[in-house]
Amino acid sequence: MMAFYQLTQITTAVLCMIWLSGFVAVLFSWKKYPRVSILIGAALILTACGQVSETVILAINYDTQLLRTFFEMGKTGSYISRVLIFAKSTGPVLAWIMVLIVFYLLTGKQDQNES
Amino acid sequence: MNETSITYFIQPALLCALWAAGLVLALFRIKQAPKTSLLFVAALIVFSLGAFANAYLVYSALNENIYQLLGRTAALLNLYLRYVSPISKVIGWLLLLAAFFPFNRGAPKIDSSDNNPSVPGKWEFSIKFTRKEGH
Repeated sequence: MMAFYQLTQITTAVLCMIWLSGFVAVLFSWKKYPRVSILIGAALILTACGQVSETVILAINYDTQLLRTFFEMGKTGSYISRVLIFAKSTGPVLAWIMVLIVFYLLTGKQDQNES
Repeated sequence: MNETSITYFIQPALLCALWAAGLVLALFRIKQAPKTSLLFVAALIVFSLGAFANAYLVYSALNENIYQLLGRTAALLNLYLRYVSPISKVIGWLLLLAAFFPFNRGAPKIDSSDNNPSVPGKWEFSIKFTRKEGH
C-alpha cells in the first residue's frame, strides 16, 4: 500500500498537469473571452498554490531532515510555514469563489446567445 | 482559535457552503445551459464525496472510539478512504474544465461566408427553383 505522503505527491503532479492544460486552454481563448479567461487562470493558479503548499507541509511533517532545516532557519522558517498554511487554507476557497463567478458569467452568456 | 482548527474545520466548511451555492446556481441555470450545468453539478458531487471521505478520516483520527465500535472494518475503511479524496480531486477538476471549455459551447454558429454575425430579427431570404410541368 502506498504511503499517504507519496499519494499526495502523485496527486499533486497529476493535478498540476491538468491545471497546466487548463491554463493553456485559457491562453488560447484569451483574446475572445478576456474576463472569463482571467478568472479561470487566477482560479487555477490559486488552487495550484494551495495544493503545492499542502504537499510541502506534508513533506515537512514526514521528512525529519526538512523539518530540521526549517527549525534552523529560525524566524524565516516560521514565516514560510505560516505563509504555506495560509496559502493551503485560503487558496482553494478564493479559487472556488472565482469558479462560481465564471459559471455564472458563462451560463449567462449562453442564455444571451440562445435568446 | 489556532491554525489547526482553521485548516481542518473552517476551510472545509467554507468550501461546502460555496459548493452548496454552486449547486443551487447550477440548478437555476440547468435550462439555459444544460450541458455545462450537468458537468458542473457532477464535479461538485465528486468534490463533496472527497470532502466527506476526508472529514471521516479526520474524525476517525480524533476519535478512537470508532475503532472499538467498528473493529477491523474501521481500519479497512480508513485504508481505502485515503484514496477517495485524491481521486475525487482529479476527476472533479477534469469535469470542471470539461464544463467550462470551450467557452462558446452554447453560442450559435456564425456563417463564415458572411463577416457579420447573425443578428436576431434580420431578414432571411431563400429562393426555391421548381420545374413546371409542360414547359
